[in-house]
Amino acid sequence: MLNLKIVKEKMNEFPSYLKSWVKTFTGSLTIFCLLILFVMPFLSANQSFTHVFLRQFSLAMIFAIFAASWDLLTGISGQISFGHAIFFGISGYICAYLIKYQSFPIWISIIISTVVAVFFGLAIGFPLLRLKGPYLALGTLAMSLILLKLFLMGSLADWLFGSEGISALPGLAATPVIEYFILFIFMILTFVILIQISKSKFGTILKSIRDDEVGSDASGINTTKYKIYAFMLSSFFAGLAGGFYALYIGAVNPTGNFGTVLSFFAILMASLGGLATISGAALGAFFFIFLEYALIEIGVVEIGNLAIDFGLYKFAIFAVILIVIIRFAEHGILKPLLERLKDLWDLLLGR
Amino acid sequence: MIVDIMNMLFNGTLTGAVYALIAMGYSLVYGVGGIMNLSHGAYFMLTGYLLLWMLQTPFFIGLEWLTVVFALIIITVIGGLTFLLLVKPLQDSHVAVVIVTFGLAFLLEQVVLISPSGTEVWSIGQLRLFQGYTMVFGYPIVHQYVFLIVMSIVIVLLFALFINKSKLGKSIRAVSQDREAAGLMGINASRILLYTVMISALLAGLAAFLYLPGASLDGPSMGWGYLLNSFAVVILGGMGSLIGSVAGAFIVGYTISFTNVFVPYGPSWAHLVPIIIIIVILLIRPQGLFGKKELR
Amino acid sequence: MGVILEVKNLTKKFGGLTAVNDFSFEIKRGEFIGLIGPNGAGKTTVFNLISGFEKPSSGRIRFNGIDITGMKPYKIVNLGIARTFQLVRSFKYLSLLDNITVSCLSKRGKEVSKKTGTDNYASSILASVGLIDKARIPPIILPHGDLRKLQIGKAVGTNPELLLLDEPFSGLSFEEQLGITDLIKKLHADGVTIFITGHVLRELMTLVPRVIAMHQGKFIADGPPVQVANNKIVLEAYLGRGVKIA
Ligand SMILES: Nc1ncnc2c1ncn2[C@@H]1O[C@H](COP(=O)(O)OP(=O)(O)O)[C@@H](O)[C@H]1O
Ligand SMILES: [Mg+2]
Repeated sequence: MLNLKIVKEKMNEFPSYLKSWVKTFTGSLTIFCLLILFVMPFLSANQSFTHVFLRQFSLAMIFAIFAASWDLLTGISGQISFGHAIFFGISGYICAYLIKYQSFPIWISIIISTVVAVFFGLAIGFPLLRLKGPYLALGTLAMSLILLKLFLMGSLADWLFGSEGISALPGLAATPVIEYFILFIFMILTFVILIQISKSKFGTILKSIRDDEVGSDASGINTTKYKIYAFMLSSFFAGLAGGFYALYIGAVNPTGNFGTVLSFFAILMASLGGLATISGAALGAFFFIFLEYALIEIGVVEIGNLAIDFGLYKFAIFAVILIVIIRFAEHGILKPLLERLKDLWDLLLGR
Repeated sequence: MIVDIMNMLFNGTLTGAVYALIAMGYSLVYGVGGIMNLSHGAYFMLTGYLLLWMLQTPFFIGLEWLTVVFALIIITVIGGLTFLLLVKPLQDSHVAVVIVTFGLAFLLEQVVLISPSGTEVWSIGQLRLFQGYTMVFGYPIVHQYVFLIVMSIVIVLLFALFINKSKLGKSIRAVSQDREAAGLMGINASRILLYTVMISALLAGLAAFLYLPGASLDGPSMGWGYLLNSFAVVILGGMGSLIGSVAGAFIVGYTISFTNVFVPYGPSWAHLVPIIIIIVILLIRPQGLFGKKELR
Repeated sequence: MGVILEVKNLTKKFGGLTAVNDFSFEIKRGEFIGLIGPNGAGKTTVFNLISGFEKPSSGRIRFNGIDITGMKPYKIVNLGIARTFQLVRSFKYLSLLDNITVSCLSKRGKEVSKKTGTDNYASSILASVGLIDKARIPPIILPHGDLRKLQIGKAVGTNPELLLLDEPFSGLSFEEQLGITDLIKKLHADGVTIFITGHVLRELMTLVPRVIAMHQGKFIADGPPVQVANNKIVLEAYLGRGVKIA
């Protein structure tokens, strides 16, 4: 039941809430980053800039949405998913199929594919939720491998397009700059929604399930219901990212859209930023894309007579980063770094 | 027809024998310490490549048997290090253990992938103890595989003997039944867990040494398949149950070989069989066919 | 003064072990009643069965006339039975206030929350258990006594009619025990029916007007504490003579 009066009050409060938020360290920093992201496309009309550099940022935004969706499910709700590529991939495929073979408009396709992802979240979440902890992790991993293998299967290629997948899709928008802004808006929306959810009473309930499911049950919470909500919400945003990704790449194929490596990326990015923070997922995604790009750019480095190809080593480096973070920095590295900065900031302002 | 049946029976037994070795350790580690070690499949894969790399080194020409000894020692040490460096400090958190061992498996895969031998299919046939095959009802029975099956049975029996009779085995059982009580009896649970993980890595290494010379190294990502299939085996048999692991291994083995031989497009569906077993068992009987433990 | 809880022929087997054996009793609305028995007698299992965390092998449990046997725990909470655990448990990364807030968001908790506001309701409970000055800190750093208080606060947040307290005094100093005692008495005065376990007789003797004694899963005695304490079987159970009943 919606209480209109309260909603109205909240609406009036909102600008002042926003004003005080902007003055906080996180607020100022967020606004600063968003401003930079906003003006960046106008910095240069140079082709290589828009086609290479800007595209990397667009990719980071897609992954930010994806990683945040994983963080909602695993970081906030404690349901370990090792198969997040399921939602990402299924949505990408549906989107590609609708556009290519049913000539649906892009936006309708994205909406439908996201809804299908939610449906998968429900269909997979419901039976798998009986599993706890590591079992759920392997259950979701198994599910994603089933899908991967089904899509790779030659005998099903007539229906699922085989290892070739679907290619030659239209882009999300006419130019990389427009694409960039569309993703920018959706990223902001995603993060506003997910952060609000994590701070809400609903979020508190999800966190209680993560911390102690039995205790949550004993507090009168229908934990199954809330876990399914978490699965559906998470698959919604993972699906959204997956649809964008299909159009961003312009093609879908089994390993590119269902690969275990995508689930691994989501885990890595969210852990880099700091689990259960949501906003950490964005930091992690940008850092991750930057690092990947940098490693490929650095390419082959010769040390003495040893040639090291960093582009080739990137996955190994990511794996080491993940291990080190989980082992030594359970709060990620980017969020704590920002907190140190905040202390410095407060010191400078004499707060 | 008889050829098909022979094919199914022999390959089922073979697959079962391999997975009995791999899954036994995997299950033991979970049963004793509640540790879900996702690097377990990577141990198997890495042993194969360790053997390959050593065989490619001129030093080992004529000393092929030394490569086996070294590879098994190295993989056992890697198992021990996994526990000491990564698992032990994180034991309180299931999420962390799962993620960190997932990361390690991924790392081992990548390390092999970027090595010069990463992207091709290799044979380590030099290590076959038995060459050739015998036709039985028109189906070629490979001698090396017969050796494997026999060895696997011997190792399983020795292992059961070890767990039930030896002092270390008894300590392992004590820790798995009640960690605190074992602590009170003066058993150092942490050390026992360390040994358990090392033993499990050794068993995975043994499986690789017995199986891979007769087959091939199909690329570093093969570890995931073995991990998932072992998971199917222990899910079927019940986490922590040794008899369950062995029984589960053969059930999975025969199911795979049946699919391979008798189902249309069998070989591609056979990949899916273990995963489907996992999902179905998890949903209808989460404690496994032979297990009693609750999933908590 | 109707019957609030009716337990009939309750039995729970764990493999070969019968933890609760053909156990029957009734509790009236507004009662303050203890369940005693040495360690391993089956008290916690009785609580687990009533609160739905274990399913009975046989027997029936009725609450306010409704058959709740084998119902899911959260549904039982929503009917009005809350419990605490013998081993303290909490949402370790949530603040104390949020720990309570979760219960206030349960179905019955909401009935109050709606009127007063969830935050106010949670704060008032936190104040009543004496933890309001620690509202913003997570429970990981609390001393054991405070954790016991938090347990009770979490249960109270669900707005229960019947409160099951499993060994609320265990591991507490004498002063801490007094604090908890006051808290429980206050709850009882507010109209909550209280059912409380203890494995040390002394703790409960002065607190409750009626106790039920059990041993090895079986019912032994029911009555005023003095009477039960002098029961031959109870004495022998506590002195560990290993009596055989029936
Ligand atoms: N989940 C369980 N599985 C097997 N045995 C159990 C379980 N829970 C309790 N028991 C056994 O049931 C008996 C009663 O235990 P419990 O109810 O905890 O006793 P109390 O609370 O009176 O100390 C004990 O022997 C205990 O070991
Ligand atoms: Mg007890």
